[in-house]
Amino acid sequence: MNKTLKSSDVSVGQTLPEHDIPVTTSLVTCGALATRDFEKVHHDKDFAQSSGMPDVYMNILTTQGLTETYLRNWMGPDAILKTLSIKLGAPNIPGTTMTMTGEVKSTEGSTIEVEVVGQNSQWGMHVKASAVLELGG
Amino acid sequence: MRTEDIAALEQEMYAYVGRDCGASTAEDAVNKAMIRHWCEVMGNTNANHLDEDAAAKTSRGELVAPASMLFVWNQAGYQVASTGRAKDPQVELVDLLDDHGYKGIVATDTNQEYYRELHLGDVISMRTVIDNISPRKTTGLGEGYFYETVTEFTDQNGEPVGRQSFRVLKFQPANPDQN
Repeated sequence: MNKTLKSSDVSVGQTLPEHDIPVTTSLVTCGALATRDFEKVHHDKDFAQSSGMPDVYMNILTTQGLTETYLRNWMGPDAILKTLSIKLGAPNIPGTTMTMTGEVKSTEGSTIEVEVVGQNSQWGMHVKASAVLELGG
Repeated sequence: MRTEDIAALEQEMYAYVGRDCGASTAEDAVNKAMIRHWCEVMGNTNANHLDEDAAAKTSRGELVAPASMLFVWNQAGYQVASTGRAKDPQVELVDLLDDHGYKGIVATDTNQEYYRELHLGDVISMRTVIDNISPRKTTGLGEGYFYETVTEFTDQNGEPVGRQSFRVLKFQPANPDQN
């Protein structure tokens, strides 16, 4: 994890390091359980398939958690997440990879806005997020 | 679907706008175990979520929960898988659309605002309202309606700590064979 970024460390257009997340059955099901989401489509493959999906798929709370963690690793331990707005696209299905990228969209003092995209290797854009962060000074 | 059927559905459906989907208070106060279990899976190693002594030495002064756990504290738990969700107006709205052939469901947007970070011992309550339902739309997935819920989160003193909006598309699959 980085040291906590200061506003002077950040400029508009700056990109975040790319990060690959393997989407596995374990990540999907254990993410659902860690976020207390017991909808069957996230842990029961037969049920997911009966609803028209090829397999279990990642729940939104895990997508949010992975996005927050991706931001955390870049912004550092003491920065504060103020808002997280997410547009959802293709599902995250086991056997694929989600590649996270990010870019600083605006800065105003120590408050910055970052866009994060999670691109699924097989299904296209999984998530497009906009986050407002409060940096350390 | 015939025009008069759509009119009848819409009359019944739009009556759900403004309906209160109930309030709940978390069974568990914000706690280290649930935070650690979440961090393990998410790969989040921030000591400010995991180590009280380390967190005490930072600008925060104490351990905080990851922000996007906001909606985790009040989840219904295993009963969702074992016996199903309790009926509330949102469940009824989904059932109504299912019954009229709008069986597809996909969440499209969710926004969370965090008014303050949550600390160990905070007890989170939430209240959800069906905020709006769109006009009938043609989408890539099929004809349907977007509905949006708004959830307000408060702490043990009744003070607001966050807000979430959540938008869902209920649609008539364009190609029912694929669903």
